[in-house]
Amino acid sequence: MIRPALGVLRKDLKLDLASPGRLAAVVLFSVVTLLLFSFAVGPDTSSLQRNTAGYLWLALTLSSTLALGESFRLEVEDDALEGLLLLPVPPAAIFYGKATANLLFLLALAALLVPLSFGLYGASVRGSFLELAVIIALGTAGLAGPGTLYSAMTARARGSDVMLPLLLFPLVIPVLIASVKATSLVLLGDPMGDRGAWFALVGCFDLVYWTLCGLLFGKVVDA
Amino acid sequence: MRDRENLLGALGLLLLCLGSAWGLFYTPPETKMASVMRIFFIHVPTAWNALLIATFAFALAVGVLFKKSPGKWDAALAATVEVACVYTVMLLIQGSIWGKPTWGTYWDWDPRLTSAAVMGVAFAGVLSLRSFAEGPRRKALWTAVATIIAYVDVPIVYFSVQMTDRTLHQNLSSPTSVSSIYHWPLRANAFALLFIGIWLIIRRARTILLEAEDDAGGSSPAPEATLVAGVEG
Amino acid sequence: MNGTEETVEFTGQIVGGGGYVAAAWSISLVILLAYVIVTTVRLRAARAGKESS
Repeated sequence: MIRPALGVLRKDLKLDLASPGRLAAVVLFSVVTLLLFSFAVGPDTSSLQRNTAGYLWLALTLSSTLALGESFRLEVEDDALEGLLLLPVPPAAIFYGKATANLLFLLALAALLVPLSFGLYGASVRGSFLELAVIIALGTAGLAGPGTLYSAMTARARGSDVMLPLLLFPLVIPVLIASVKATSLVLLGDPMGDRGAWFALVGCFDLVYWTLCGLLFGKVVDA
Repeated sequence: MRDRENLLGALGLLLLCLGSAWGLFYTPPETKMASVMRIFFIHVPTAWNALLIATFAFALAVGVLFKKSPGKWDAALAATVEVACVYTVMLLIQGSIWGKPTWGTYWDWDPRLTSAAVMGVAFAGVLSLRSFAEGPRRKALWTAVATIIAYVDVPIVYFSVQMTDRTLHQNLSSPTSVSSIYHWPLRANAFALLFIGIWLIIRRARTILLEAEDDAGGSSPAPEATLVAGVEG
Repeated sequence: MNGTEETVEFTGQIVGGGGYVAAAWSISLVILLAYVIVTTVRLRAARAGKESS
């Protein structure tokens, strides 16, 4: 289970690195989104600073659909997925490999967006950097898990560009709520010590959906 | 062709007339909310039934995953998700109208309102995905998977919004929290909407089955045929 | 009715409200009726399509 998953992960990462144009497009998109928020809200520095966590997570969520959509487009274009499924590995291994690849991609994107949003919005970290890294990892995992499952469907449906965000955005509302809260508390300070509950909520979401999606992935690609 | 489910629909309609007339005209106004509380007699039954029907959709979705040829189950699932959507839309509109005079706002980001809205949007997304999927097998499995994923999210949304600690919404109504004068109209409407819901589900499921047969060329598709179509699609 | 006391504190006694009741009720029934009609029309059409083929 773990070895084939790692194999799929390695394959996907190689493909990512082999097409830097695609990477650059997603990165550019997320940077433009960050810029747009500051224009939409206006040059009010204090409100930008206060809402940094929200803008950061919105930018990540919006660009995640691009990254996730791409992850199965290549598989579908040359019927590569059929080939993958013929291998004697459980479909769940393919799912976990691809989901982890998407998670790593989103983490890399976040690593770029966090300092950029600090620069643009004038925010800083009052809490610990480790906690910031943890909540970003948990939150992006919440996007990557169900997002990978959905993109396995939408990539092979008509109108796939609209379908993925349509399905993913309502689903990840809890992730968005909790990640924004937790990130906000880490950035702005947490005098009441509330952030633990929000970390736990995203953690539970990840646990539920990474398990559930792993179980259901076989049925999705079977069809 | 005589459909037996029409009897259920008629019974539902009768109960709805009875419960509504009772609730609207023959109950005393509530002490603090006067007439406005009469929205309850349709709102609470709609809420109960929306949740019940959504849960039924979840159960059907799990069933579809274990069936070799899920034709009938799939039609029932798609019909149930659709009816759940309709009930959720009704629920949200009633709730908004209720909110204006009592809370002073049409909408509030409260756990119940938010999770009902998310459920409606997520189930509508499932139907949209279904319409874009090709081939009966793919339609069936994807609808089931998406329904399960969407349904599991509803309690998580509820919980996550509740953690933000702001609610205007009344406690969930149950026979113990509602004055006994109001029990019978509530019950009548609850069963009315349940019967009408089941009637609608059966009729939609019939339609979906007929349309699927039509797509498959007039003959009911054998399991092998579905499988081939799935691979080609 | 639990939990209504807090509500009443800031809105006070609600007088009338019949319009809201009528609106909520009629919109619900119109939606339900519209869905019933669409359902029936589509079922009829599907049956007619089957008989003609």
